[in-house]
Amino acid sequence: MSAKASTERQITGGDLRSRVRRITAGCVGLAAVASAALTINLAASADDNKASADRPAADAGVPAPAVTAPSTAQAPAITAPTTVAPVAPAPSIRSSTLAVPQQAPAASNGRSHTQSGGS
Amino acid sequence: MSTTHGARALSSSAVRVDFEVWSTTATLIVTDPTALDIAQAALGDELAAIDATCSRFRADSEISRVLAIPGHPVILSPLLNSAVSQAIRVADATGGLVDPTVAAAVIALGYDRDIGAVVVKSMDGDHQWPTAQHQPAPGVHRLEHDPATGELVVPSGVGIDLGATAKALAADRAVARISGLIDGGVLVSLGGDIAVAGQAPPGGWRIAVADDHRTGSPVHQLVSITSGGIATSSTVTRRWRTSSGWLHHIVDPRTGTNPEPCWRTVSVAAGSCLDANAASTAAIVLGPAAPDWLFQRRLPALLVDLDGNTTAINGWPTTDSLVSA
Repeated sequence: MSAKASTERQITGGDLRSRVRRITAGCVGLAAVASAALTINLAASADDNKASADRPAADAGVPAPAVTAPSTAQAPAITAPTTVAPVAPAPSIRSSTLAVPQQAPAASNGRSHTQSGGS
Repeated sequence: MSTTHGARALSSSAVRVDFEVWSTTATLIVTDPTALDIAQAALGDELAAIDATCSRFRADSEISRVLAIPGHPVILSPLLNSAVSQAIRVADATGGLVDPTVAAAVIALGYDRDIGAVVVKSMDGDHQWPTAQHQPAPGVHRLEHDPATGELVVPSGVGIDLGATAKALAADRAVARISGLIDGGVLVSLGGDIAVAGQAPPGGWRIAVADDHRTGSPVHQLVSITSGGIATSSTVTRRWRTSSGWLHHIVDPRTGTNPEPCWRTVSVAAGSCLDANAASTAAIVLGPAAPDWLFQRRLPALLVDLDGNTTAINGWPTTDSLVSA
């Protein structure tokens, strides 16, 4: 009994340290994989957002308002109004910078094509 | 909606047409005269679509109908989804200096109808102006918008005014659309917010920079561009007189009122007309800090202060090239 207990202690002691190391390594590995997957999902979501936000001029042909009245039963977009206006996190849509021109304007002369000014 | 003034040739190739729209002047120029009809039709379609979608002065516009049911999720049309997405992006990129939720403040200042009607109203000495309650903009973070699905929830008490971005966005969209239909180059100017696309004419598109986009106003400078856009914001246009004094259309979202006078006109060149317009408007709002702000963003700009002194930034031609002050 005591020998067995001694054996168990030896096994438990050695294994425990080894198991702890393996478990720790496993957790770190899982966390890394989960983090990578989350990053990929977020990147894909951002790309989707970009594609939507930067829809080309083809959108312009016919405006298709899809506003639906709150009472429209079949409208899946409408839900009950919230009693407390939720505060959404600051949206992150596409680039948060303003696009610089390919080149700065050049000084010119002669007759102008048109005029830029306040309206 | 618009009155065409007739086409006229600018050179052996380019042809131009001007017409009234949104209480301002629209200009269309194409380098291939045979493409004018196609370009004009496409521009007309684009302006009509933007108007029907984004105008806060039309009760039947899509944005008006969205704002009529606050607190409810609504699926936007692709065009309004794009316009709202871009307005939010601009607010983000300018740190809230150009913010579509400034609507209530703009209306509180008296800009509650088309600018032409506001000016007429201001000439009525008997008009009772409400006491302006300066309202800082709630901020775009109050909007629940998913650009991927087009779903938008506008909380109760929050308005949206796309006026600061829709005109420039329309110019960008119009030139993109037209250049996909015709050969050669195209320029669209909507009240002095200018977008170009396609092959520019030799020497580039020559643009006179002035306080007012209307022909005949004093010109500060003549510059040329070959791509992107130029926009000018000014405090000397779109003005109206109230019982408490003169006001103009540029409102600081942080305070809900006109910014402290500093620049009378700021012109900016950018990769798009929309971004140029966002930067020029932000510069007027920022006041003395505008040159540094523009410099850090590498946006070429010309700033004209109240006395007519000019500051050129990031490669914008210097004052040596001024043709008049």
